Amino acid sequence: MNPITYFANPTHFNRLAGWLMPVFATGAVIAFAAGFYYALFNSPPDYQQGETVRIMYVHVPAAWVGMGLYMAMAAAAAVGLVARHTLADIFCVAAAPVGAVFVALCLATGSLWGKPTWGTWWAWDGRMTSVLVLFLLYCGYIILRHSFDDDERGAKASAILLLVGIVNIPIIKFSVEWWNTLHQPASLLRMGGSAIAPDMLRPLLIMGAGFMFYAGYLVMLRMKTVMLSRKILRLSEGE
Amino acid sequence: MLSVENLSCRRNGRFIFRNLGFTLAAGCFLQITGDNGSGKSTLLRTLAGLLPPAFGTISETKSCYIGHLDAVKPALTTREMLDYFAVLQGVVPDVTRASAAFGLTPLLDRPVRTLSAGQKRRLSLTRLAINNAPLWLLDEPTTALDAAGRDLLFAAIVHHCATGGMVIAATHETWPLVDIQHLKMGAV
Amino acid sequence: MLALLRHEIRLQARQKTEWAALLLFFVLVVILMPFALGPEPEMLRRLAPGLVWVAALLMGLLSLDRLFVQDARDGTLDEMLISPVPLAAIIFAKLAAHSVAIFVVLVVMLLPAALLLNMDVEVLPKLLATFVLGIPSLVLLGGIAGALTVALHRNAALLTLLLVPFYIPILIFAVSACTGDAAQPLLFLGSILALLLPTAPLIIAASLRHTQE
Repeated sequence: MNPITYFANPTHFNRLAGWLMPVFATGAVIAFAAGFYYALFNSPPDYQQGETVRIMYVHVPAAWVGMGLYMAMAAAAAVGLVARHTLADIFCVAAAPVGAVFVALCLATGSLWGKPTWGTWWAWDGRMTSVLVLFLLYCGYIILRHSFDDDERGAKASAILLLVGIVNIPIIKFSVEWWNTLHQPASLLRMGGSAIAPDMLRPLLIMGAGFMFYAGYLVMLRMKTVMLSRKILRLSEGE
Repeated sequence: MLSVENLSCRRNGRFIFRNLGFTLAAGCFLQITGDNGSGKSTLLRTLAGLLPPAFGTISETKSCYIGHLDAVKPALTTREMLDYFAVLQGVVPDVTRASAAFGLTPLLDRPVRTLSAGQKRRLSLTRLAINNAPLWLLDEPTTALDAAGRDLLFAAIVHHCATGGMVIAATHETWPLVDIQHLKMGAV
Repeated sequence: MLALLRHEIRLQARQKTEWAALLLFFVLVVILMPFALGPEPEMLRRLAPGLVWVAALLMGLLSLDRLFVQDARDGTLDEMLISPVPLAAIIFAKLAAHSVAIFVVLVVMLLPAALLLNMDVEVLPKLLATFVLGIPSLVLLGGIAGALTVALHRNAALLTLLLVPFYIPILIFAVSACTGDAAQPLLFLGSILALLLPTAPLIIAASLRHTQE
């Protein structure tokens, strides 16, 4: 049995979603409860940054999810172009706004974190600049995807864009970080250094799990919505 | 010979036409008629290979497609345009012969920008003489043509059919040809 | 292939007025800079390569609608798609001619722009080198975005949004090559071009085929 064709069938997909969505929702609630407890009450303040380091527990997982969803979308786009299946496109259409919102959350929290740490809302830090570019890639995808009257052509064009984008992300990241080392004074604090205390790692990972469950739940929900709205469109056109 | 089986074409999620089938023998002329929006142009573009069919098969035949647009560049001269058509077809251009087919010989060194709409149409039709495809796909080919231009087109079609070629044209014109097959496209 | 290239270059060479307008656009952007930033010669000297590259990038974006939109509008795109000649080869010729045209415009205007911005003479050869390696990459990426959006009718703003993320590395390396040690960033620019040169025409061909009406 080919899993792609199996779950592309709306009935099968709905059965999978009906089973997965409660799991994701429960996982998200539990992980968020535990994560917020550890992040806010049961982890040490940073020896340099003090209490503001707690922003990290939202900022970093949001970046993970934003990046992970983009990679998943690119993988789905590749499958969609090869296997010519609409489920891949439905996944991308459903996941793009979710990913964009998480990336925006990452940018907003990064900016809030930057003010007390660097004394400025935006410092053109290498990582933050890469995230900003990722946000632009999401925007480009969403607008391109919805610019076509014909769904099939829009799906193909935007899938090609995703693939070109995923190849370019490492190049963009490399160039931005290389540029950053040229211009950034070394005295600035870097976010999330390599060595992180275990007391901080625990809430970070739990929050990461919570974000992933929550994103999974949202994407599933949106996939169902997209499928239903396409069905409505088909029925209203009398086919 | 061209054979089309079970052909369906979909755009914007709607079927333009469904389950169309016909065969066209060598030397035949097929006239497609139908209301606006009945899918005449879509059928021709699908046959030319510009649009993928949703279902169905088309037998492999080399074709020459002349659409609504003339595909000419105002900045070039008539001769340069003929050269380019030949390059795109991968053939060595015989400009003298090709330009004579639609009466363009006196205009060879004029920039396309200075040609009239009918003259541009003739230039566009000259692709038929450059391309030695057995199947001609013509979408409203007589648009903007004067009486002399039309006569040249008819003569070219008669000659093409007499030498075993096939022509499919979407047009509502009455053609002074003996052997015409008709295909009427209607709402699905 | 040579015949295709000759045709495309001839076509660009015949459209001198349109390229002249783009050339003026480039100069006007350069002229606006001192008004925005102030006329201090020392500061302009420092910023000059970056300003010239931003102006070149904007001009490149503006020129992209000439790449496939015109062909789609006059029907040439259909002819290209049906042609027995490989589509990637036709596209390659088109992009090469377009790159040459942009390069010519930039070379013509380089000296006036350099004078206006008080640029160091030593920077000029570096700037030319970044143009040689950077402009084709801009055009190849622009071709991909142009092919993806050609079926849409008003696509200029979308084209900019799609391209800016991909243009960032080129801008970074090109300007760094002019302002600091040139060898390493030029190598990176060359690598990007080497990656795009064989892949972009194929991606563009696939995009054009898949988005046709």
